[in-house]
Amino acid sequence: MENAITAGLSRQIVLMRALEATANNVANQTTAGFKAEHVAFREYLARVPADRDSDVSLVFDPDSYADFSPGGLEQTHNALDFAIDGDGFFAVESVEGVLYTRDGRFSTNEVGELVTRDGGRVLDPAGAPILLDVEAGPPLLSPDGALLQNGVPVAALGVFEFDDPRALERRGDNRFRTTGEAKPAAAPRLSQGFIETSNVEAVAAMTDLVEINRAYEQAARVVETADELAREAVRRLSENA
Amino acid sequence: MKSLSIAATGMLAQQRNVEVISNNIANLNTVGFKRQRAEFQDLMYQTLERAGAISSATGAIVPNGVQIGAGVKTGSVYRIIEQGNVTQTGNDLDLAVSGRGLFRIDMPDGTEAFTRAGNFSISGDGRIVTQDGYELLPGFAVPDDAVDITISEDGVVEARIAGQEDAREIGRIELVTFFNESGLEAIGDNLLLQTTASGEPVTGNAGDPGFGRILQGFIENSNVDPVQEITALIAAQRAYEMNARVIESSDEMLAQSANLRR
Repeated sequence: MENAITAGLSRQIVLMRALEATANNVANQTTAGFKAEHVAFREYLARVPADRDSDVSLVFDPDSYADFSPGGLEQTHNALDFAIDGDGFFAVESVEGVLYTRDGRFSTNEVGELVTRDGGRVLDPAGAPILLDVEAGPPLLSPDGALLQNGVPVAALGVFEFDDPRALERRGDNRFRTTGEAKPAAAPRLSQGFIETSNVEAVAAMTDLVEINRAYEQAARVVETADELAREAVRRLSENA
Repeated sequence: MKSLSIAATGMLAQQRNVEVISNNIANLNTVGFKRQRAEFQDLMYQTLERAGAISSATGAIVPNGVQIGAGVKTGSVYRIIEQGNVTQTGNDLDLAVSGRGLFRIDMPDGTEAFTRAGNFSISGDGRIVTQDGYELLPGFAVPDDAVDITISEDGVVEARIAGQEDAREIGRIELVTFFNESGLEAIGDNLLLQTTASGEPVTGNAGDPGFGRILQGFIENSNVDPVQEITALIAAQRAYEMNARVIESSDEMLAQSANLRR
C-alpha cells in the first residue's frame, strides 16, 4: 500500500520540478538568446523486498536539457546588435574563464572595446578582445563576422561551436559555461541589427502547464486513494477483531 | 514551491518592460528623444547534484545534472542611439544634427550636459539657450540689431546686422561625440551627462570626420516608432499574463497537496 503512495509522491516531485522549469521558460520568454530548458523523466524500478517477483515503478528526473533550436530574429536597427544565423556562440571574457552566449546585444566601453551589457569583453576567433576605432563610428558587419570601419576590416566577431552542446552548463546572465572544447566556427553566418529572441514557445509552455497541472492532480488522486484504502483496511480489520 | 517566485520575477520583468515602453510612448513627440529598451537576462541556476551519478547497474553515468533556473532579471535598459527623423520648422534657431554628435550645454552648476534636442531660443542678453534657459556652448553673443542668423552645416554662425549688406561671423557651434553614447546618463529635460561608461567627450566641428552635420531650421524628432512600441506593449502584456497563469497553476497544485488529508 505504501508503494502506491511512494509512486504517487515520486510523480508529484518530478512534476514540481517540471513546473519550475516551465515557470523559468515562461519568465524568460522575452530574454534575448535564451534557450528553453526541459526536464526528462525516467522510470526507476524499485525492488520490493517482500515480493521478489514484482517491482514498483517510480519516476525520477535524471536529466534536464537545454533546447538549442534557434530563436526568431528580431530586427532592431541597432548597429551593435548581432545575431548568429545557425549554430555557434559568441565568446565573452569573465573572471571564471570564457563563457558562451547567443545573446548578441553588445555595446562599447569607454576605450572602444566591444562588450556585453554587463561589461564582459567579447572575443574574436583567436580569443582576443575586439577593439574598435573610436573616431570611425559604428562598425559594419560582413556576414562572415568581420567588422569593417570606413570599409577597412578592424576586427572579427568570434563564433564558436561545440561537438556536443549538451556539455554546456547554464550560468545565468544568458551565458553558458563549458568543460568541452570550443572550436571557432568554420563558416559562421551573422546578422547585424538583429537580436535572437528567446526560443521559448509560449503557447507550448501554456499547454505544458495544463498538462503538468492535470498530471499532478492524478498523482494526488493516487495518493488519496491509497490512503483511503489503507484507512478502510484498518477500519474493517478492527471491526472483525 | 519555487515556481511561484520564478513566475513573480517574470511578472516583475514584464512590468519593468511596460514602464520602459510607456516612457517611450510618452516621449513620442519629444525633440531629440532616444528610445529605450528593457533587456532581460536569465537569473542564476540551481544545479541539483546529480551530474555524474550512476544511472544503471552497468555503471552508465548521467551526463548532465538537473538545472533549475531562478527566473529572469532586467539586465539593462539600453538607449538606442538611432537617428530620428528631421522635420522642417523654418525657425532659425531650430538645429538638428544629422549623424553623430551632441550639443554642449552649460548647466547652472558649471558642469556640462549634452543634448540632441536643438530647439534653441535667444535669451534677453543675446545668448543662445535651451528651452530651460541653459546656454549653448561655446557661448557667444548675438548682436541686438541682428536681423538674420544663418548657421552653416559645419556650425558657423553668421548674423546680418540691420542696415548692413554682408553677414558677419559671430561664433561657431561645436559638437561632441562619445564612443559609447548609450552609456550617457539621462537627467531629464532632454539632457544627458557624461559617465565613466560613455568615455570622454570628443569635441569637434560639425562635418569633421566622425561628426554629423548641423541642419538649420530643422528639429530631430523622437526616434520612437509607435507601431513598434504598441506591438512590444501587447507582447509584454501577454507575457505578464502567462507568468500570472504559472502562479495560478502553482497555486492549484499547492492546494491539491494541502487538501490531500481531509
